[in-house]
Amino acid sequence: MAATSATGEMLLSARDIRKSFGGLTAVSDFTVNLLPNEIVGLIGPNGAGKTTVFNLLTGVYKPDSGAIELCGKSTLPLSPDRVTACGLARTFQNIRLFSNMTVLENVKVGFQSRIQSGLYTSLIRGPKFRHEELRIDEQARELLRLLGLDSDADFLSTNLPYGKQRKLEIARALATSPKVLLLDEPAAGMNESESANLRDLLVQVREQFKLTILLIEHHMPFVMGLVGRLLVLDHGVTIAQGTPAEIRCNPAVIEAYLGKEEK
Amino acid sequence: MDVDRLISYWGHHIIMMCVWLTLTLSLNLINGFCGLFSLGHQGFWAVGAYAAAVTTIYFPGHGWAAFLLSFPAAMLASAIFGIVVGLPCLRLKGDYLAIATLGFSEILRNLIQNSETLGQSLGLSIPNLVRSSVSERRNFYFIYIALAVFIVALTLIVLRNLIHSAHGRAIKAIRDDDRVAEILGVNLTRYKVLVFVTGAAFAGLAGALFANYNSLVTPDDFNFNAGVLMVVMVVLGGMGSFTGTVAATVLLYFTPVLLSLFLPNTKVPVFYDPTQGGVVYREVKELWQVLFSVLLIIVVLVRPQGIMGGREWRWPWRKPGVRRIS
Repeated sequence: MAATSATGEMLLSARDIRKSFGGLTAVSDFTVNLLPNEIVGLIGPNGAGKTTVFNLLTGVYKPDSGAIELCGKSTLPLSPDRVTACGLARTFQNIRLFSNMTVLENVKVGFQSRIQSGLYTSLIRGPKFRHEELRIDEQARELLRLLGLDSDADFLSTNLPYGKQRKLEIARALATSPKVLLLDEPAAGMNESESANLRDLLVQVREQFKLTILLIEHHMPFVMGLVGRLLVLDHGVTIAQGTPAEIRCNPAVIEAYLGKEEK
Repeated sequence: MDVDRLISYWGHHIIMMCVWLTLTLSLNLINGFCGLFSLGHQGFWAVGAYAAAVTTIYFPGHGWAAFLLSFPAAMLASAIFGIVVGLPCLRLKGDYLAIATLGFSEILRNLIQNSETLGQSLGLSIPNLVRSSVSERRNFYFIYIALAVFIVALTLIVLRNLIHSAHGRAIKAIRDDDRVAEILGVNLTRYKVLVFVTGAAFAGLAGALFANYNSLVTPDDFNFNAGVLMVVMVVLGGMGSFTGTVAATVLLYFTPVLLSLFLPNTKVPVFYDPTQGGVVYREVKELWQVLFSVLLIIVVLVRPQGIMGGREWRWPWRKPGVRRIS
């Protein structure tokens, strides 16, 4: 299923990555291969190492061993901002917006890695600068419109309601024009209709931007209806992978979530 | 009223206020917009002042070329010092960065104090070309007021254009959450060094203005108190607000000036001490320090975000949203 031999097709691949903090092995021998345009779920009990995987993939942590490749290029020597420039974007589990900046400005920061106008032309407000700022403004507003935030553009991001803050995180990540989007619990704290709404949105976004999505989520109906396949982590170890239907009746997964059945 | 005395009195204060405005505006870039808490701005100021002094004194010819060259030379020297301090210090955050920058500026002050070429504690005297080439004393002040206002305007325009650009957004993003900014493609080292170097360069420009105007620089002009006063001006005005910084700098600069102008030799009862013969009187201008601390305590308690709190003054007839591109 996952390990297709068509290496050229893989967008993001991580092989046997391992990370420990002191004596605790947070992630061990984690392998994932993401193909273009697929949605993959990453689930597991609390503390299973899911967010650590995201931090490893985005370059925030460097793995102790293993390899990570984005579009066939190793990202290990790159700092997180370079990884983003190569086409990897993420959102955060605990919302981390730039709270003293407006909604629009938050999205505009996402265009940072593609800024063309240098310092000098920005200081003298040259034509190149003006042209680029107008283009960014247009594109940022377009993203806000897509996520239904256009009427909130000039609010401070901290004044947005929770659900909209989550959407703003996605808009900001999309602004980096990613090929792969990592979503850390995008539906956390949302009710049924909101998460259904978000699911439609993600499908639409994937089509429109030709995205590959890897998402962490605890909300099972949400994950099961959205993803093509799932990876299950427990204590840093990948205990199962497969389609939602396979995972749902996998004994190892049930044990990880619910504990062993008493004989 | 003697017009010449009036011009030299107010001229002096306007020029010195412009020096302080250049300092606080550039410090506001570092502390307010980028959130890097620097306590060492007086060090950049000193480097600029001494670089300008040395250029004016030693540049062959001692003419106008030396004078004009001293301004870019001061900016360059401070910018280089900014990189030297910045590269090791910017790995630090918060209080640690504040202590490290303070340490650097104090080391620098001690080096100057012990350097014979830089005149040790007595400082350097700088030939004052403008003063010696104008016939009337008031013209000296007019020239320097024009120069000082030009420097403040230049600082304001450059920093404003920087902040209202993509680079400015990156800088503000670093202040709000540097890890997330990095994930969104902001090169942290590049922008932190950029902010430090730009702030330092303008502090150096303020130093050049100060050195050339004052004709004398001593290490004590750039002591810790000067650094703290700058930080207080920025914090009082509101971190990350040009309007606030300007307002607070003008307010804090002119309050003691006005106190000693309008209440000269006015004594007020301060405390009761029988050993000193009952009620002790002090001059009003001596109470400035007390007033200053009380003001600061009130601001921290009532309005911790400062006078403007990161917002800018906008003319009432200009609609929000059309003001700027970014």
